[in-house]
Amino acid sequence: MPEDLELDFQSALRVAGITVPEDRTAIMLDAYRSYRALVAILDEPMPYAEEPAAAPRLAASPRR
Amino acid sequence: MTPPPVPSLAEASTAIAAGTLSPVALCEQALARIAAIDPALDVFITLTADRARAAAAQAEAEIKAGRRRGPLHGIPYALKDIYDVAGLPTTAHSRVLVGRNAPVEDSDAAARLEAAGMVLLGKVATHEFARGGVRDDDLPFPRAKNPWNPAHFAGGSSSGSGAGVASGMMALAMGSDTGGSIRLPAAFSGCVGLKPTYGRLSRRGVVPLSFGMDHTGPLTRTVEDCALALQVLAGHDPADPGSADVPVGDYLTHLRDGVRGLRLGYARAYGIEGGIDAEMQAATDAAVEVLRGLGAEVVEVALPPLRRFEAAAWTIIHAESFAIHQQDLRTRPEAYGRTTRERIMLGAFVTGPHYVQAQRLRHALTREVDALFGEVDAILSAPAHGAAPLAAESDDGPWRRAQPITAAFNVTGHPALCLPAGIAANGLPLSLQIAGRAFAEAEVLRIGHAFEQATEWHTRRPPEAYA
Repeated sequence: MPEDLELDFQSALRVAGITVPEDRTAIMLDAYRSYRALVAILDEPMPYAEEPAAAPRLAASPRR
Repeated sequence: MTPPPVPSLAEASTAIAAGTLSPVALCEQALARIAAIDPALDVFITLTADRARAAAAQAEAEIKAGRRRGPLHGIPYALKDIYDVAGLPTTAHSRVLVGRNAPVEDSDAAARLEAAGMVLLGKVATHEFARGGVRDDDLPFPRAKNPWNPAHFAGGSSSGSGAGVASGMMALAMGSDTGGSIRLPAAFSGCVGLKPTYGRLSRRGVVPLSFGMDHTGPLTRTVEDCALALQVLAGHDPADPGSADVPVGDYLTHLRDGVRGLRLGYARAYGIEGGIDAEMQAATDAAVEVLRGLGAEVVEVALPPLRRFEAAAWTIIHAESFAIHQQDLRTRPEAYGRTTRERIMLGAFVTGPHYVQAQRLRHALTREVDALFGEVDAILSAPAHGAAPLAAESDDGPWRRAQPITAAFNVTGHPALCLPAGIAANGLPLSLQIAGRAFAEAEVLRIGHAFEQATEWHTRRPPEAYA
């Protein structure tokens, strides 16, 4: 819900300890909406075996 | 009369070895060209002319005494102003660091290039902290201009590196690439840019943007120059936690071996999904045909969906850059340019679980792209949506209307090269991207060199009226 998103937005800023000037709030809120839409994909389940990669493990690329 | 562009690394190296070019004369040519054209292009933040003259004189004396260090000895270069050099300020193009950052040690890249006998001309413009935009007017230095048309975006964030090389001020400039910041300036300014494999080049002494996504690498005039530079720059650095302890390749011996017998994948659908324009599509299609004509087998391949790369890339970049800048954003946000400040602030919205999920997704994507390299030797794609847009129309919002499509290979860490591949109707360069297996930079450069030598795009120069 839009109201919830705005509350989440304000809460995230408060927790992070940063402020957004009033005249940029709408643009930053819109950016927040766009980011949330992008990362919906990250809420999809992944298999337990899919561990994080702090850096790519690249030592053994296969050859054809 | 404007002094001519400096020669390529290979040309200068051959001439210096033959005794027909003096490092002192080459340095003076570079400095004279910078003096003549930099007022229009704003490439340099810190010009180290006296230091360069002293280094060139020393190189000349050593070479005359029979102590030539290698092929790059006595040739000028520049560093993006996020690389440390002992005794010189590193500003990252930001008021945040101006007057606060006086390194006492060289970055790994600067140390390697100095040991090779290269001559530092100075530090060049970047987008602020390698993250800002081109329209910020509240920065301590002007933005670098595109030498093909100063009204157009030079690409970023290694904007000064691309503009400096393309305009013939120097034959080598170092850049950094977190989502495309070496390859896009190369593409928009019409030169060659290599993002090596993650870990191939050290990031020590380079101002970080995102620890897991930052890559350092060279921008040069030609692919051969890129190979010459990489031969000096590559190596394991225990002081960089991301550095890979993998043997350095030989990037020159097989550079001219051609592409016959190679099987290349063309990620055509990826470019379409990314929204590239008709000119970029045509240029990439034509480049593929050139490589096919040179004897490569070319098949279409399907990269994973762009949206998955973007979710992983921007979650990691936002979170890591915010972690680096949070304290300054809390206490003195006004020290940042507006675009930089807002883009980095997006990291405040990344949750812990999303950061972990992005790293898990990155692992999966790396594995999926790595699997493609079991079928093909390299992946060809468009590096940008089109030619460089007008700077005044560049996206300076916190959330870009279109994210760089180059970021896929920052996520996976595979090496990717951009090189000239056409000229758009507005007279600005178009480019091709060639990605390869992990640590297979030699193969990527070999393919790039074959394409370059079969076409004349690399011989095109910005109009001297602008340069």
